[in-house]
Amino acid sequence: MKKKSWHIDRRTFLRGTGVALGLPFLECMRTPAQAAVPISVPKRLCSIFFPYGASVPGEDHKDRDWGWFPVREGNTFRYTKVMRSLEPLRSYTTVIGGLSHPTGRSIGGHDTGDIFLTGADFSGANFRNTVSFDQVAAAKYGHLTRYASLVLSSDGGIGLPTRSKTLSFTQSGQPIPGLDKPQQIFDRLFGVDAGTIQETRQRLETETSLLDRVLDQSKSLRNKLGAQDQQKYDEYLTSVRDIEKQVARSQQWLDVPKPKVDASELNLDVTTDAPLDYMKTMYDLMYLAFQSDSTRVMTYMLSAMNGQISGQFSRALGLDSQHRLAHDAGKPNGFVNQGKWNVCLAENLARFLSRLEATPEGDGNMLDNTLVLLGTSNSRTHNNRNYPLIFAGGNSMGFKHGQYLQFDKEGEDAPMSNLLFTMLNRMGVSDTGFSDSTGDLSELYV
Amino acid sequence: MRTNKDALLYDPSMRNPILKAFSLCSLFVFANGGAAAIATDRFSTEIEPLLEAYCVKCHGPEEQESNLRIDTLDRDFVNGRDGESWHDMLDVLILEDMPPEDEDQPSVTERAAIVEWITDKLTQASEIRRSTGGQGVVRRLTRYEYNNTLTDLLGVELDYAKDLPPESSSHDGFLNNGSVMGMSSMQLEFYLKAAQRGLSIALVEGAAPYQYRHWSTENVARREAWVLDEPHTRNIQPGNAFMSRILEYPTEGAVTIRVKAHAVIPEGKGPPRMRVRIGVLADTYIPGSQVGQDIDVWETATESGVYEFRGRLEEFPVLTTPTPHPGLVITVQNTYDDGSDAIEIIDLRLNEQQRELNTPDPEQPWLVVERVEFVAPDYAVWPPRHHQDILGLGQVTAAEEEERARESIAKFMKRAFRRPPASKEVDEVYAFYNESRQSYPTHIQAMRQALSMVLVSPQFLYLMEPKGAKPGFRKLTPHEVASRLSYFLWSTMPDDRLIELADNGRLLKNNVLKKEIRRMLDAPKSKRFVEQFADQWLDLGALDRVAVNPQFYPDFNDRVKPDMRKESIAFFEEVLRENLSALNFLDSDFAMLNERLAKHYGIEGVVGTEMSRAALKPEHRRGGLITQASMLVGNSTGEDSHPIDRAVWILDRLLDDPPAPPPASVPDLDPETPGFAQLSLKEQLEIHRDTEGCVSCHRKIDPWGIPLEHFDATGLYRTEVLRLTAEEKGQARNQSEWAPLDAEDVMPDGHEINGADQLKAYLLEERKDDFARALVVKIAAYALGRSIEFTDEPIIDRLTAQFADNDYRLDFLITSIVSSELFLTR
Repeated sequence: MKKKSWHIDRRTFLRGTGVALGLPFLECMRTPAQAAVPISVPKRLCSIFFPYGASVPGEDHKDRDWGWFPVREGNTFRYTKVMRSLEPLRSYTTVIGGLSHPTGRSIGGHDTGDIFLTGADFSGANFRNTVSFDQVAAAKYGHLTRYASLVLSSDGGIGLPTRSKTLSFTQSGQPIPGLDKPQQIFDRLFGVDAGTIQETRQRLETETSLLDRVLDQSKSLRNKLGAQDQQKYDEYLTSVRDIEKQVARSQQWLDVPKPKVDASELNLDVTTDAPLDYMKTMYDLMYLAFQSDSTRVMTYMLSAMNGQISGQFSRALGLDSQHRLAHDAGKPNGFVNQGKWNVCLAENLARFLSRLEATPEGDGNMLDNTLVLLGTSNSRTHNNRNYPLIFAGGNSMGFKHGQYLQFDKEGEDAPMSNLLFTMLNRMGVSDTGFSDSTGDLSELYV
Repeated sequence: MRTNKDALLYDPSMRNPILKAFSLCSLFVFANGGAAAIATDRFSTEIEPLLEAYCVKCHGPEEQESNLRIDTLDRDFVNGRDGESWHDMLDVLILEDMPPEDEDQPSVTERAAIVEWITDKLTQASEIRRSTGGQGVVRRLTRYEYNNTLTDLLGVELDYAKDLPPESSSHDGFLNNGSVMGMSSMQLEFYLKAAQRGLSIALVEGAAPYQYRHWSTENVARREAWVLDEPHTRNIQPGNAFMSRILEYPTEGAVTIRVKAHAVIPEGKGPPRMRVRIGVLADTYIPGSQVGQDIDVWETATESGVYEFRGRLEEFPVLTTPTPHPGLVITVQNTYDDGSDAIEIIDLRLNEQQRELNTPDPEQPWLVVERVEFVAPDYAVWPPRHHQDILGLGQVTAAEEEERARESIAKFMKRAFRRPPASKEVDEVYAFYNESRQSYPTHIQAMRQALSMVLVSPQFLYLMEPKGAKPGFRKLTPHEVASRLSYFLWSTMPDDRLIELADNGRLLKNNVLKKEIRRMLDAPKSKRFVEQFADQWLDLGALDRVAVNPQFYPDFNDRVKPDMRKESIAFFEEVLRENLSALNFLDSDFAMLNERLAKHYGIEGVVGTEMSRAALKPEHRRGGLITQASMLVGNSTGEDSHPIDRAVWILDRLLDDPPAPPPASVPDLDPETPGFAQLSLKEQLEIHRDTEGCVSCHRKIDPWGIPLEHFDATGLYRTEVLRLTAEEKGQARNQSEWAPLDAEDVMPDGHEINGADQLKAYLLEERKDDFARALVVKIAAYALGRSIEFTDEPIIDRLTAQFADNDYRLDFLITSIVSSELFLTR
């Protein structure tokens, strides 16, 4: 095992009193002149997905208390067993129901994970996705951090259309592969390049030139390909352009050392064979990525539709696979079993939110400045409506929490994109709508 | 392929355009015209009157309940916008939600007719949507291919693909399908990193490094501080290990471990098996990584063998900073395991005492380790061969640099691009070399930059097949054929001989091509085809997705699961290498087993860890693929059989006729039915099937899985089945309920089948042709890196007929696929 050389300074860090110590902002790290300018607190966005819906027993069902949705709407709601862990975070959390993507309502029950954050139209002959809302936010704020966004996935990679293993899609709708290995994620965020800054600078300059040349040469190749091949080939060309941008960004960041974080509590060798430890580590890395301001935008496909690895996570609790839990919900004890898995999801989220809340930032804490969305794109399995969602944080952006809101009117859901738009809008990213949004959800903010 | 066979029956005119002339025109022209034509025919005679009679009253010109008007729905499922409305109709028809109870109801057959028609149209439409018109889509190398290719190209064996995102199977089960594989900036970033790392290791600078050589004959403790009164025994029983500790060692370079050892094998046991690891660090509990492969040791004391294991130290957990417990540990373990309780797998990390087995078990095979030797960095010449292969012999003087650079770049590019590079292409890389040479102090460093440009170029990462001068299909060039062939059978770049035959064009001569296929199949690298294809065709990964529940199977030993996978791969290999008929996949009088798996099956007389051929008797109830544990366990729930999954596996993998996926909103099996838990699964399914909407599909599915009900979730034969209700789970097994078992069902064609033997006989007698065709389709899809489509049907038909005429021999099939226009044109 490699010895970690990173300094143990996070706890010192957290104990820090001054506001300026709260976070290593780029703005205050680059030049003393900039540091004198008043600091604007960062706005962050994080979305997490799990498949096949949640436990949704009927109101009068004997196992109602194992249901995802709280009892009673509005601000007098009562959490069920599922979200009890969120009780201390009540003033940071809203439980949302009655939203779904109109485009997703009549497609296959397990085909909706891809469009959770995009709202793309997958009906008919189309399997081409559109940009996900996190990437819209990354386009706005990405230049402020070392990485424009961080895309994570327990299964890793991109998967297949309708069974994507990532939540994030580029401006042109190309899937962005999710990183799944904790060590790899850690190294990317905090690992130190071998060699001196001069050597790294030279490497980056060489890479810039290399990519330029490759791009030139590959553009001319495009014309030699058939029409169908060209479409596929464009993925390559886009990728070269994107990586050029990433190299340029690395050059800008060259003089800013990567943040030093305490890795001693992280189990970076953990794999998906130990799902509970694995999820904990992934959330820990997400916290560190935000806390170190390495990025402000993250998605985590905690578990994907047909995720062959992540689908088994619930077994770590002695339960069936997630797919089976969902399909067996109607059987005796079915809602209890599915509810137990949901408890685990909520507890992981609560831990993540608490850590953000415990980290001071500006006049408040990191959670005040971070929007977190956890949810799934089915209610019961195969039913693509009434997405079970938890929306948390962002109090500094005006969000008013401590509610349970149902948005369906006369049996028809409101568009999910209205929530995504509301989040982008309050973050200052967009005021013209997102995807197929028809308005915003003003009930969420003051 | 699947639905079109059925769809075609409805209207023979659809087949004609393909049969008359294998049209090269775009599929879509054909799909638009052809599909719409059938729609009208069958629709107007059979379906439309039914819709008129039962639906249009409320969903027609007069009324449009739920905003649905059926008589004007677009019947073009491919380009029309009403596909989803049809889908919704399908659901309510299956669930019998429509027509409403107080309206006239269609008869069972009428309802089934509409359901079938919509289902067929939907499946057909999704197939057409996926279609690429019989063209492969330009495809990049898979992770696996990329790793093999870089290893061959740079001559250094490293894990180049470790950071690359995993690939997903296409809908027909293969990982190399071009239309499915994506590219992203992150992927490209990892390609660049891997190339830089590989080149920095492959191309060396400076004088030859000091070579460390150590040897030891004593089995020591892991830590230096733990001084033993006398060394541990060298007679290593299964599970135990010999350890050797080295205090001075390099941290990079090629490493060779030589082990001199022999075996002591008791009567009736297999040989001990040797596994070598490097890098159990003396002060941690982290086990080292394996170097090389496990190997059986047969030599006796009189003629000990010397075994070599090679790797790169960069790939092992080697400590580079000072520590209180210094040293690099080499572990030689006996991994023989007959699956019995007598084998104790020792956790080498934790317990030194456990290793003190100075009186090893005489009933188990011993690995007697006599000597362990360590050499690193190990090279025969300096600079090493891999360096010389790329940059040539001898020092490059300043005066020679430019010429030598250009020469080396051109030579490297020819291998990387798998064809001679155009001089313009060489110019571009050479220009980058020149630029780099200004900023890097040495020729070699600049060469590393230039060659890494080659390794992120599309010509390297993709199997490029440019379009022809004229529209439509063209013949592939010899180099393109060499690449296709090499990735098909070897999962890597063509070797020198293939490239030479492509250079002089002889590769396209029929007899030369045939000889090359033979040579390639005979080479050890063809093992990659065997493993990759068998794994993907048979979905052997399913084994990893099923966890056997010990509450149901307290005696099951998880260590046997990897053997189940190996059994199916070895079985495929045996049929291929021994030129046996592929019908052995349906039933055979032999199995490929090792001791552990044979013990699981209850078959006697098999010893050792390697898979070997064992004759089967009827009472073993094995033979063919469908009673192999990989299939039975992979398609179980871990608690019980899963007859639907097994049925779908047979239909999909063996007959290439997978059923349409279940429609949305299918109700689960209804556990409220009184006494449900006590019913046999077949009876439970029958209740499910009672819903008329479900019956039309399930009548065609269930009979393929029910006959395998005698095989439980561990793949073993049984005569009754353990049932626990949800509440009972967690209780002791002796309180549980045993239910009867029924393995009898009726095929859609009326054949009654009882049990696995009859199912195999039925497959052999009635479905042999379908199986042969399915195998042709599967191998062709893997060979081409694309799905087989209905435009390919005439060629597939021809290949199938030839396959049958040649005793269903796989080597013949592979040759005829490669020689066909499917493979030689695009």
